[in-house]
Amino acid sequence: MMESHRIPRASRMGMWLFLFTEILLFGGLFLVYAVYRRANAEAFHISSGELSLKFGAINTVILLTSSLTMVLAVSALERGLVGRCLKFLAGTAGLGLLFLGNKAVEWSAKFAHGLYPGNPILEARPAGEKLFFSLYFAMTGLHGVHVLVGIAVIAASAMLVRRAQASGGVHVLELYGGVVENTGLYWHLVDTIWIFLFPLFYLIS
Amino acid sequence: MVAEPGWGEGHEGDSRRAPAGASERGLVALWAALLALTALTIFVSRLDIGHWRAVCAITIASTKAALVVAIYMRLKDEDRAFKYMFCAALFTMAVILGLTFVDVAFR
Repeated sequence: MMESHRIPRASRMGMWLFLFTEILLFGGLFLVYAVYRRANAEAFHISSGELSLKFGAINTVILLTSSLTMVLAVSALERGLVGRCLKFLAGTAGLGLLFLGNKAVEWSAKFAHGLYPGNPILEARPAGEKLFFSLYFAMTGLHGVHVLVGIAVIAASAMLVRRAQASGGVHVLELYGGVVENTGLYWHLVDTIWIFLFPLFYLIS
Repeated sequence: MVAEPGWGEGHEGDSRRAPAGASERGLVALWAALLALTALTIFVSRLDIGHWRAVCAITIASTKAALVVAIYMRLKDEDRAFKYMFCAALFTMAVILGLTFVDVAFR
């Protein structure tokens, strides 16, 4: 039976402090969204109907599932199951890539219809609809960058775990349990932000 | 293949002490609940209930977020300092939102 080795409290606290700054970063954008939506309810309503609910819902399922695989990776490492942890980390990163792939397809469809800031087709539309699409690209774009960073961090921590395992492996948990756990915290926050983005953009039509 | 989770033996040192690898079944059950809430929020968004749709969407999203933060991010198992800090961040956000709405509403 494996004993639990958690990272020092200070390390987790440092991660949480960073996550609070992320909450405020996205919080500012949610604030802008709320104020403009209030002033342009009808335009937001119409524009939202042009987004693909199917893509939004599938990406929600993908991210929620990736949070599960992430937490299972942390759980596996805590029980000393390094191979199992690596598999779940790979699965999490894979789901992240799938999310971004969907996002790319979804954005491409919007680009094809000229629905991006600066395009004459969108510029000819009412101000509220321009605002909606600008916010849509800004917020899902910033979120997508976070997903991309999350994938890179997951890959890096998986490589550390793997290297430690290859070189003997008995202290993998002591060495990198904290790295994996903090990576998980970041990944779950990115998932949490999407939990709010999804209804605000896809479900208000 | 899968070892039994260690239910809390031998955790000295660190104060936080969720069992190592708190029941995987629970983690999977939470995932199922999150998917169910997603289905619910899509369903509610199609109902003709006026501004209650937005209220429902935000309430369901907040519920999902709270579950992720409490269980997947293990905030419920952290000591009080973490919880106070988290509340302080939410409070800051609430003040910013609140003051802005008051400003915008009475311009």
